[in-house]
Amino acid sequence: MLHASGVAQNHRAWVFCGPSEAGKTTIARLAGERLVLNDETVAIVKRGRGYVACATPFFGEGGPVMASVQAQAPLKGMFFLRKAKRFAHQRLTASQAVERAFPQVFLPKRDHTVVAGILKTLADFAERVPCYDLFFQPHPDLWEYLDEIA
Amino acid sequence: MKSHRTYPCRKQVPWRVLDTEALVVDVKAGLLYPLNSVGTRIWQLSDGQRSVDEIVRIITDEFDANEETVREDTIDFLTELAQAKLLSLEENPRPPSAAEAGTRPHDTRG
Repeated sequence: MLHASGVAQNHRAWVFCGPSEAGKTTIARLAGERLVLNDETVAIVKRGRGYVACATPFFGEGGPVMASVQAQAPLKGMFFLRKAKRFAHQRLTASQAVERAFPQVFLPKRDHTVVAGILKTLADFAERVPCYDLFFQPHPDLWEYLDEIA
Repeated sequence: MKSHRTYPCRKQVPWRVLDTEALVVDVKAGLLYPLNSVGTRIWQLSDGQRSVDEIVRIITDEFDANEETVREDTIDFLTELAQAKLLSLEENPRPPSAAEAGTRPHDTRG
């Protein structure tokens, strides 16, 4: 489970990862008719050769309405949020993606075996799922920009 | 640091190499340390059986670099890792079996 918001469209999900104030809820609020999985926490589950983003009941600033669905969708990609004055994105290497994702994972306990397992899962995830830095401003055009990312 | 008889030895921490970079986790602090390619190679060589001098020689050869620069940077790097308690700086080499036992069960590579 990650500090992330998740939004699904056409049965594929984007996940937006970052600490508090990174913009997770903002992106969920700008999602319009798209299905918001959650604005604060998203569970990532391996299924087959890919990963699925799942809604959770643990909502953030957006309130309970942001955690009202029981939904999941195959993961299209993960973004790590960076506030900026323009829209831009940059594909990350697997090691960069793990470096950014690790601090956002809810560690159930600081146990060696658990952490080693999480590191292994993140490494597999980062090699299978496209991950990006996303530079964004809170503007309605954001989703038009995201829709153009393959 | 007496580099001819100091033997860096990785502690039992989760680590993994992705691309050419090692990601090393301090479990207690919940921190992940990304190492660049040279740092990754030093980390891999820090098995408790090689002295700092031997590591410096290998890095100098493999990266075709100036030995004195490598020595300074390697000692700084190892000192930082030791301060972060990710490795220990031993005065004697570990026997091969002990060095293996110290790292392999928690080596998450592969």
